[in-house]
Amino acid sequence: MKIAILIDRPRWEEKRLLDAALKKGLKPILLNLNEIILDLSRIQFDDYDLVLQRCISHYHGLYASKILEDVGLKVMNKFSVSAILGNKLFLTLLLNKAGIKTPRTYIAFDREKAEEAIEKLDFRAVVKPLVGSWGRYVTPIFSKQEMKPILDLFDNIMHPPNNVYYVQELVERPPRDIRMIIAGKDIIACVYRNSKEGVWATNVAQGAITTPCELNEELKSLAEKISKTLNGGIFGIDVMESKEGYLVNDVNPTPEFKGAQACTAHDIAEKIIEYVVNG
Amino acid sequence: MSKLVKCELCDADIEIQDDVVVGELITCPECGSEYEVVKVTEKGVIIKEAEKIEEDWGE
Repeated sequence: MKIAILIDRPRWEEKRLLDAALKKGLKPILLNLNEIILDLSRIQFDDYDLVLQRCISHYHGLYASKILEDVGLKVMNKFSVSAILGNKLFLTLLLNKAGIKTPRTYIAFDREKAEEAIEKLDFRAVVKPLVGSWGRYVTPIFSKQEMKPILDLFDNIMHPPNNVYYVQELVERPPRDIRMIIAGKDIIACVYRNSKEGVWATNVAQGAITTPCELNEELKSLAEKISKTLNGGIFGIDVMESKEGYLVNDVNPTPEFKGAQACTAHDIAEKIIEYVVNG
Repeated sequence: MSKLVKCELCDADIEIQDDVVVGELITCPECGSEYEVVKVTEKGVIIKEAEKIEEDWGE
């Protein structure tokens, strides 16, 4: 089986995926988007059986997926799925429609209306850019006094396509969240991401430390529901432990797993490659 | 055996792992400067200053 691992900046994860594919006896290559030019009137690609999309840039991955799918290649995850998951507004709509609980979310197209939304949340809110990751610019507001200066700063990064106010309730939670990685119906990793001391965010990229998290029936059912909604694929699901129960905060189409691997007994990259091969 | 490359900013040694690939980002352990690997040879690697982290980078 010929498999292309699509990259623009190879990370630790992509090298582990390459190793796992080699170990499985496949013929993998790292296809680096920064080393190619594409003639859209005559797109030619080797006859890969599958392309595993692992770009660090959301838009690079998205555009390349569209091109590759258009010439008939099978891309994982699919362009249509990555397009939704890469945008917090689209993702929240999808989860809400599927009956999956998320933090309460308001969208405002105007600054005054954004302030009104934050007031509705008793001035305890989180503002986020629609597209972005590693928790960058995700900013909590804990009081009325903080709202104006934070929104003033936020206005500076509100260029298209991020020029919409995505305002979420500030969920009361322990200083951690749960990260599940799923491949199809299987949960291949489940860990807590414990915030670094003095940091509000739970992203490993912001210093969070992972510890094992035991799966329970509720988490299993949540993962199954998300897998079914997205019709299979490889995803990183972030879950908050609120007083009212689990809330899904994010679903990532190209999950990093170095942090999860640190406290997972089996090889996550091997599990991903097994899913890619066997479906 | 891992390779070493000098940080262009602070002159510290940056250790390069054996499985290094072109395009990979490496960080100076001393000053935190980010570099991109542009070439891998038998003798070592060639690096250049990395691009800044873009808003759509990450998982």
